[in-house]
Formats: sequence, C-alpha cells, structure tokens
Amino acid sequence: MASIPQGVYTRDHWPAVGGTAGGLRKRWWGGYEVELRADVIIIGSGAGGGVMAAELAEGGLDVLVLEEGGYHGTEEFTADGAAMARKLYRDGGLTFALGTPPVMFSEGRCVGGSTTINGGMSWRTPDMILERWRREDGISDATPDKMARYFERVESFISARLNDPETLGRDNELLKQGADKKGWRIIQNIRNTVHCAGSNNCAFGCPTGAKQSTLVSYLPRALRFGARVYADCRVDKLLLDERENRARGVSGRVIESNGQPSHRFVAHAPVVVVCCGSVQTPALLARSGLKSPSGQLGHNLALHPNAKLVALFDEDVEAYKGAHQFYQVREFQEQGIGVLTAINVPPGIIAMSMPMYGERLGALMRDYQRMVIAGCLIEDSVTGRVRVTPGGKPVCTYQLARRDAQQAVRAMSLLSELMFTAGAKRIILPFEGVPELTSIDDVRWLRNQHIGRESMELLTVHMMGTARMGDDPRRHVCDPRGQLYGARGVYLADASVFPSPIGVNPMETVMTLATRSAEKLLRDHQSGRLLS
Amino acid sequence: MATLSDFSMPQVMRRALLALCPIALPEERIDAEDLAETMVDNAELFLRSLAPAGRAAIVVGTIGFEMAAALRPSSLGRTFSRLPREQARAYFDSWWHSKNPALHNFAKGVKSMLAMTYYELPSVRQELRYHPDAWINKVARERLARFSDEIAAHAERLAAPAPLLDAVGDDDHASVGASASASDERRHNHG
Repeated sequence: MASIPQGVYTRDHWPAVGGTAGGLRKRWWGGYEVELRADVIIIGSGAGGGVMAAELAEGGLDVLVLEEGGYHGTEEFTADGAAMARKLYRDGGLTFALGTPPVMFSEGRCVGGSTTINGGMSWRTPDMILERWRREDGISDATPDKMARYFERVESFISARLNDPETLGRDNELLKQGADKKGWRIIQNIRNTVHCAGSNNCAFGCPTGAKQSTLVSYLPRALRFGARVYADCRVDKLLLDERENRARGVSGRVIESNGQPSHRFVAHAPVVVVCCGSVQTPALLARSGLKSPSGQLGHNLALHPNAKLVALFDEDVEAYKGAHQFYQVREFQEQGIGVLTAINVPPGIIAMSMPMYGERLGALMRDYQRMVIAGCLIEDSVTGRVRVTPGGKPVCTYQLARRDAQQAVRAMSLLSELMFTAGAKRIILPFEGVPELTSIDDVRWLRNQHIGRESMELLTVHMMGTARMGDDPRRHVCDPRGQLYGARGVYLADASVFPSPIGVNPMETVMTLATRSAEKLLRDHQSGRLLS
Repeated sequence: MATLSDFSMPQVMRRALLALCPIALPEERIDAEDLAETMVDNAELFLRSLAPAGRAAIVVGTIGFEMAAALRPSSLGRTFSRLPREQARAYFDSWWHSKNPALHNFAKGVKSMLAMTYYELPSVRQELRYHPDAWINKVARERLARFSDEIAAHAERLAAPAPLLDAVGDDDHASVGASASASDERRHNHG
C-alpha cells in the first residue's frame, strides 16, 4: 500500500475526511452527507485536472480535486499487467466503442488519470491543427507563437525531453534500421520523463517514478500550494443554481474497494472544472441535466484508431527492455497516418489479441522474445458519439469510415514493409482471416486486398472532441476559455474540448489548453469576477 | 446487482471455463501443471473489475455456451463441460468460426480473457523468458545511482513558486523553457 501524501484523502479517511474542511450534514430524508467547500472543484486528476489544480492553487484559490479512482503510488506499480489493469483502468481496461469494428479503448481511473498509464509522449499540437482551430473555430490565440509560452511552461514541469540514448531497446533499433533503409523520416520521441530508465512498463504505471505523470508532477505541486485531493470520490452530478444558471457545486459518493458506493458528499464551489476525459465528461454533464445550446455535447468523438501487428525476427528482441516508443516514423503524417512506431506489449495482452487459440497460439507465443509489436495512429475522418443510458452510464458509438479502414490497411502494409526491410521473417496482422505475411511480396499482395472493416482489430487511447471548444454557441459546446455555453462557472479542461483530432499524442495539448484556461480563470480572479 | 468483490462466478460458468482452458490455450502444459483452476480464479478477479453490464454479458454468454452444447445431436444431451475433449474442441471451434457475430465474438472474448490469465502465470512467463521485474529493479537502481542530482533538482522545481500569471506574462514572452534538445527536435518536426 502506498504512503499517502499529506493533502490526499482516500476512502479510509471518511466520514471524518479532511478534518475541519469537511462537515456532516443531516439530510431531511434521512442519513448524513459530508459537506465540503472550496473556491474551485476540479473533477478528475489527469492531464487536465492535475494542471488546473496546481495552477489555480498556486494562484491563491482554494482547490478541491475529486477523483473517482484510487491513490496508487509509484511503489505499487509492477509488471503484473492483469493486477495493474484492475487497479488503474476503468473496467479493467476493457471498454469498447460500439460499431464496425468495435474499437477497444482504455481510460485511466486512478489519481493521475490517464497520465499514470500512458506512454508519456509529449508533443505540441501541430501548427496546422492550431491554424485550423484559429480559422475554423474562432480560437483566436491558437497560433504557435501565442501558445508557445503555455507549451514551454508545461514542458518544464513535466520534463519533456528526448530519451537517453542508452535506453534504446532492440525493437526500436530495428524500427530505425528499417526506416533508414527505406529513407523514411523517423524522429526521436519526446516524453515527459526525468531520465526514463527504460523499464517499458508505462502502461501499468511507471515503477521508477521517471515518467512525470500528474501523479508525481502537477499533483504534488498542487498539494504544495494547498490543494486537497480526494481519491475514491465519484461525482454523480453537478449542482446548479437554476435561477442564475451557474455552478454551485457537485454531489457524489465515495466508492469502496468492492465498487459499492458508500458515504454521500456534497461539495460547494462557484467554479467547477470538469476534467473527466472525452467519454466521462459529456456523460457527467448530461447526467446533470446540462445540454449545450448547439446540441453537440457528446458528438464529434474522434479516436485516432490504431492497429498493431506482430513481426517475428530470427533474433531475441526482448522488447520489454528499453524506453517506450523511442522513435516515431513520421513519414506519412501529412497523409493522415500520424505515427508508425514499435511498442512493448506484455505476453498476456498480445495473446489476447491474436486471431488464434490452442496449440497454435502457444506455438506463436513461445517466440514472444523474438517479437516486435508495431502500431500506427490514424487521424480519423469521421466522428463517433457518446450517449448516456437511463442509468447515467456513457455508451460510445463509432463507425470506422471506409477511408480510414483503407488507411489502416495502408499503415499496416507500410509497417510490414518496414519490418521486412529490418529483417522480420513473419508478420501477423490485426485483420482476422488474413494469412501471415512471410515476405515483402506478400505486402504487395496485401495492398491490393479489400479487408472488411468487421475483420479489423482496432484500439485507441486517444479519445477527443465530445465537447468541442470554439466561439460559436451554435456549433461548439464550450467557449474558447473552456467555459460551457449555457452554464456559468462550469469549465471543461480535457481532450473533450479539442475541436478536431490532432494527429499526435494528445497529453501535452490537454495540459497546455488547461494551463491557458487556468490563466484566464486567474485573471478573472484577480479582477474579482471569478467568485462573485 | 452484484459488483466487484461481491461477484462470485456461478458454478456452471466455472465448470465451462475449466473445461475450456485446455482447449483455448496450450493443452499439454495446462494439464501437466494443473493450471486451469488458477486461471479461472484469475478470470474471476478480472470479471470483478468489469462494469456490471460487461460482466453480465460474459456470464450469460458462458452459461449459454455451456448449455447450448447439449442441443447438438452428437452431444447426446451433454453440456460443454461434460463432452470428451475432442468433441468439446470441435464445439468451441464451431463457435470460433461461426458466421453469427454473437457466437464468434463470444468465442474470441472468452479466449482473450483466458489467454490473459494464462500468460500472467509465473511459470508461463518463466517459459517465455519474460522477466520484467528483474529488469525493472536493475534499471531503477542504475537510474537512481546515476541521476539522483537531476531527479532532486526536478523535484525542487516542482515545489518552487512560479505563479502562472507572472510566468506567461503578456502575449510576448515566456519564462521557462524545455530542454534544448527537445526544443530543437520540435522546431525540426513542426515547422
């Protein structure tokens, strides 16, 4: 069990949570609820919530962070994938956007949110995307120059940097060899690490503390400036002053270790910042009875669908040794294939996704050490939707566009070509019913095949855009400052505000937009408008 | 509805999964080392972490899979877990290759769940020569020995005041910057 830092409260602290900060209030229909107060309530502690908490707390506001997941410190993170998935991921990491094909997605549910379980890629929003947001969505300061000061501040706190050369693993070395032989543009990855040790366990929590997730960067900073972080607290709904149509707080329940809700709480604040991610944010707003005047809340879900292949080499690769995604192939970025890369995936997860079973699967997996797992990121051209069930749960739907399906086939062809060039002997594709590739001739064959969408195995960790930001209340859900149209005091700060997919890993964009929104909130606070 | 630790796998489901383990995964090893019970225990843990709707779908699907075997004439009324191994394998294979997406997806899903539990077993990891914990310990020690000063400096930076409004100032300047090498890389890639 992790030692809990001062200022972090878990289910074990209830109902006497936070000492004098909390109070017990008798409810008129029976029972008690804990009553909390703050200037600002932040829901979620990931890329958006962590940044908001630190910036606003340092700016002198009384900040309360409410996180549905538990607090797990660095010392708890191990390579036991199944145990970590149960601990750190929503629904054990097995959630799907329904459609053809269903797309598996993962969300972090722990203090630090998805920054605890991501690969730490720290890329600025591409210039062409900022330009699109400025031109089409009216975000007037979305220019590389004006955003630079926010990017630089974020990069400083999360230590965005290149990996140390000695942490280059053999899988990424092979990726580089293949790309160099093909003459494709390959770049070193920038990640939020203080000297990544190359343990390649990012997806299950960084066991060395090198990755600067908000768990070890922004949240300690927030605590340093007096913020309180309440783990195991699920917010059920936002509370609104209906006469003035503005935020007045939230209500929710503490979640016990068996998943059952226990203590009720109500927290009061004139400002509520929702940072629950592109799936949970629209669900929470909808559960609270909030609708955007544009009718676009929950629409425009983009996923950056990605597919992964397994390339088998004649040598031991030992892909778990080395930094996560040391390199990225960016040759095809302008063509909508944002990234080609090699990644480490533990045997259990690989075996899950292989289109075979029994002895055949066993025979393949015996070559685990000779595998390079390589994947792509596709900038999608269609969008999905998040709906809410009568019970308040989000349901995602996403129909892969034919063009994007073709892009997935093309990306897998390109990656196969690269891997054969690097010396791979066999390649197993994420397309059911498509035979293994054994030579570069097979890649040419693959390019001419029609692969049905239903046979594709796709997944994502990049959900974006269900509450998009912009200057037009008829098209957008929140204004360029992140404030929800139609409800004063409700701000959004996560990937749901992206007006479009960005084609690169989204963490730094989320953090930067959150920093920018925090600045605007603090300016309002300075002039006395924020809390009045 | 039962959730998390309240959830225990129904016996009929447990029987079906125990019979399925040596079919979905390498038979010889599972039989030789008697791994099926451990796998199914781990599957139960996994099911506890799922949302109730997802868990219910797997439970209902598995029970349906178990019972539907009895409807095949060749089964002579026996459910999946009571079939001889080869007959059970043929039955699972018929679901795996079914044109009916519900049957096909169930077969894929339940195999995935069991595959995850199997390849997390220490003896199986040993066979694959997959020793991440030893590697993690080694590189973590080396990192601390080599970079402790920089690690401490970054921790200090995180604790030091740097108010946002002072830092970002007006539109014209910024106060803190990324490492030079990362900045160069960005200029190169985002021109």
